[in-house]
Parts: sequence; C-alpha cells; structure tokens
Amino acid sequence: MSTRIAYTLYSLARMIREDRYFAAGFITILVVIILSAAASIISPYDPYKIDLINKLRGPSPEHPMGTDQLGRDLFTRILYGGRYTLFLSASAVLLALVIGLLVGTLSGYYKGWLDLIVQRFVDILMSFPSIILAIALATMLGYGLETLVIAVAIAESPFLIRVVRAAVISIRDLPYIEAVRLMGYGDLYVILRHVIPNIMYVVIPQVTLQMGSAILIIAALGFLGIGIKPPTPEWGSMLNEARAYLMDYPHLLIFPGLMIFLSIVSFNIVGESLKMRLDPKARSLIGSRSRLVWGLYRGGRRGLDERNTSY
Amino acid sequence: MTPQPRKESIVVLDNVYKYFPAIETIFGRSKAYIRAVDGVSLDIYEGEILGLVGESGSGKTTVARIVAGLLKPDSGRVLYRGFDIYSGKIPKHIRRKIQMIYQDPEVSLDPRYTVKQTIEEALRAAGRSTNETKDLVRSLGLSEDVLEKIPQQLSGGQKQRVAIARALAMRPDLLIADEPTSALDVSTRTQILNILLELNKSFGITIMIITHDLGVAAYMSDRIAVMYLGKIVEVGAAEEIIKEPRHPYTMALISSSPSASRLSKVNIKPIGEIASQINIPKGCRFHPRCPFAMEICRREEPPYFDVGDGHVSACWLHGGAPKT
Repeated sequence: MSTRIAYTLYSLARMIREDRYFAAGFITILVVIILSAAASIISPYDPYKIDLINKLRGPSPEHPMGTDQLGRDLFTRILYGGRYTLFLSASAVLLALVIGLLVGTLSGYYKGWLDLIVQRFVDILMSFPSIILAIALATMLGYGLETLVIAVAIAESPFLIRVVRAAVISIRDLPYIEAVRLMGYGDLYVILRHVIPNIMYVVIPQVTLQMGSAILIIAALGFLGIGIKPPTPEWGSMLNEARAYLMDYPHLLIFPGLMIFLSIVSFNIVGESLKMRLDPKARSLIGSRSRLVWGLYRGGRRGLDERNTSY
Repeated sequence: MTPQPRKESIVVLDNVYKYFPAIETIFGRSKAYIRAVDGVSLDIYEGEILGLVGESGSGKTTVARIVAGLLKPDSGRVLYRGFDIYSGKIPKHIRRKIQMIYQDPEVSLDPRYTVKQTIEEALRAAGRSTNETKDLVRSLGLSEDVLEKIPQQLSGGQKQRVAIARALAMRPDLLIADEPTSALDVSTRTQILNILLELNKSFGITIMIITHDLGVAAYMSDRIAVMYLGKIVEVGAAEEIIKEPRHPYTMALISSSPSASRLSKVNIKPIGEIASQINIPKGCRFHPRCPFAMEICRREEPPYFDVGDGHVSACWLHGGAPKT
C-alpha cells in the first residue's frame, strides 16, 4: 500500500517536471486551497466585519484587493470564499463520484434491463444543461448547504455514470476478470477488487474535469441567489453583491471573477493532462501547447475522445 | 456420438445451441441471429487432450466458453461429471475444477496485480495455503523474481506461464485452453504446449485445446474435433483425422496448414471464404465451398456417419447407413 502511495507521489512529481501546463494548473489549485484553508492565519480581518468608513476603497497596502460596499476586506472575503466555493464543489463532485461509481458500475456490469432503464434516465438528465438542472433541483430541494451539494452532485453525476459505465463495459468480459469469476469469487469481490481499480484511470481525469464544471455551477447559483446567499463570502454570491458597482468599482467583480476563472481553468488543464497521461489511447495529435487552448475552450465538459480515438 | 468403451466422459455437450442477436435493438428483439453454436454434441473423455479445430467464425471459442460455464447456451445441456453446469445445482468446489487459459496474455492477468497477488488470490479461492505460491511459480519454469512484478514487466511467454500457474492453483480437472499460443512468439509456443502436455501426463488433467492450427492440434491432441459454422463436422482420433480425414472440410483445413499437410497426403482446395454465420447455407453447410458437392448436399443436412472406431464424419460422401 505504501509503495503505491510512493509511486503515486513519484508519478505526480514527474508529471509536474515534464508537463508545464499540468504543473501550472496543479500548483494554482494547491495555492488556492492552501490560502483558503489558512485564511484565518493569513488575514487579520474578519470577513463579516462591517467598516462603513473604509467602504469601496481600491487596492492599497492594508487592503490588497480593496474593500467592498460595506467596508469588508475583499482579500479576506476571497480567501474565506474559497472555502465555500471549493469545499462545496469538491463535496458535490465526491458525491457525484459515489453516485457515478455505484450506478455506472451496476449498469455496466449487469447490463440488461437495469442498464436500459438507468441509461434512459441518464439520457433525460443529460438533455438538460447541468446548470439548469442544478437550478431546478436547488430550488426544489430548498435552501441549505446540503441541498446545494446534492443538487450539484445530481447535475454532475450523469457524466460520471456514463464514463464509469463505458469503462466497466470495456473490461467486464476481459479474461482477467473472467478468470477471477471462474475461481468462484462473487460479483462484489470482482467489482471491488478488479473492476473499479482498473477503471480509475478514466475516472480520475473525469472527476477533475467535473470539478471545473461544479465550481462554475456553485458560483452561478451563488450569483443567481439560489445557492450561497450574502453575506456569506462565496465567490458567486460576491459577484452578485458587487453587480451594482460594476461601472464605478470594477475591482469588486474582477477579483472574485478572476478566482472563479483561475480555479476552473486549472482544474480543466489538470484534468486534460491527467487524461493524456493515464489513458494511452487518448494521446493525441494535439500537442501539449494547444492543450491549454482546448482546456479553455472545452469549459469542463466531456473529453477529447471523439478527436483522439481514431487515426 | 457413442462414447467409447472404458472411457468415461468428463464433459458431455448434448445438442447445444447458442445464437447471438446480430443487431441489437432498443427492445432487445432481433430478427437476424449469428448462429455461433448450431447444435453441438460432443464428449470430452477423462484424461484426454481434445483439440477443437476450426477457422475463425466457426464458433469454437463460443463452445469453449460454454464448457467453461461462462456462457449459458440457448438450449441443450452441458454436463460436467454428471452435473448440469447451468442448472445452478453444481457444487462450487466441483465447478471450480474447470479452469481456462486464454489466448491473449496481455489481458489475461490483472494489470494492477503482481504475479504474487494473482496467484495467491487463486490459491485462496481453492482454500490452499499461500505459501505454495513460490513452488507453483517455480514448477512452471519461472524464476522467483517475477513474483513482485506486474504483467507489464513480463514477456508474453512469462505471462502465459503465470496464467497457467493461476489455473493450476485451483487444482483443475479440466483445462480449457483457448488458442493458448497464437498470440505468442514462435520460440515460446512449443514451450507452452509442452507445459500443457506435461500437465496432462503427470497430473492427468483433461485438456480441451481450441486452435485454428491443425499442426498444434496434431501435436497436442488425442482426439480432434473439427468445427465448421457452428457445427462439428468430424471427430476422431488425432492421427486418423490428420492422416485419413474423411470430411472434405477437414481435408481442406489440412491442405491449407503448412505443418499438418506434411503429415498427410490429402490436398484439396476449398472454394471461397467461410460463409456468414447469419445466413448459414441450406443442406450441408459446407456445400458451397465443397469440391465434391452433390445434389443431396444442397437439400439435406448430412447426419453423422460412423466411419470406424469412434471416428465420425458428417458428409453425404460416406453414403451407407447414418450413425444417428
């Protein structure tokens, strides 16, 4: 087990050294996470403390990103906001991963009518843009952190179900899986010990890509006032609050917007790089340089599969 | 086929059919079927090596999977030591005695498992001690340092040996080897075949070897069964099948195999390619390609004729009284 962890760390270090886009994305994510987690250490300010005398100040040494309409330090709020945005997105994606692995594996492994029903249901979910789906679900389930996570998880899950199912189908009848069945091991053992570990190479990149998409949805819901509501410092809801000051105090929008942008792009680049690295078949004609452009263009959706598999 | 006296059948295939839908529709109904196995009856005798030979598309792999208990036939019975494999009543410890060796060593081992883990897993399933791993690996001529390696670090021949070791860990009574050498380097083929021969000789493991290469079948088998388009056309002692084939298809197969044709005087050329498994020709399924085709071959499917000593052939050329 420990050798496996050591090997993972070693591969990670090698990827950072060899792939500068991956390195840029990975380090950005790491920095944002560390800054958010250490928000209370880094910033002396309280993210909720109202200071009307110092409201709407531009960036200055005391307030590196300026202050907002209530005089709260914007940098502090961005750090604390990262906790909400990233933590909620990560929770939603993890939940979606659990749903995806459970439903996708059952669907792909057992096929038959179960697969048929599940896949038609997934078709229906996928026919809505995930953001619309998340808005509908969040409204339906009512306000709350848990319901927000559940709504986003459900909106994200169809993509993971599809990816997991396809991967399971591609290996379920391979001799090495069959051989284990011939030994008399049960389905649960086969799935947990052989099927799932062997599909992780497609699941991990997809999860990373789904992170970008989840951040976008969480922020959008916050912006629309359906997700996290002010005064809680969530990047999307901060944009919402700042809307009125767009013309006169653009820094109120630029900084949270920049954070959303940076996080999503980073996750997408990391996801794409992982996909190229982990799935030998996905290695493409597209060089590493244009991958950045692709990462931006794709906006956290699906893979380059169609482009890459032929040739 | 009448079982020969004194020989006990370990596997009995009784009129087995397996069709696959050719077109998958949403509602699961298909009008066209691939008739992969189209009425196969065959006995495998205890302790023998049976070669199942045929072109690709003849359904031999499907038969292998059916015998292994991996693919339920549409109709017909598959008995292993008297137990119906697909009835659910066969005890687990008996069913485990059927093991398989696969064609492609690249996918027959879990890429994430070390050799040690793979073999220990099998030993545990068989209720044996994992201390036996080393002996097992060594008995197949592998050195101990492969134990900590993953399949990616092994050669094709090594992988195939590990796959055999994994099967042996289950103490099998019946080994089904599906083209065990066709993906290997020429230099390692004979080694693998000799390992299988050795297993048959020293442990009495019954082996069914599926191959498209009559040379391999001749080298390995006690008996050979020749399959064409889902049906067995000729069965008999290996030597007889090679030297005195009675079915035109067998003759054609021998003529087209460089290694087997040296052992035999037969030389005929079949016409054209194997027919589609969806539109199997009426009458004798080989007649469109058969140089000896007669009028009756177009109309009626030939029964099995006993041409002596358990040698059976389904061809109208034998005339006389049909065996069944």
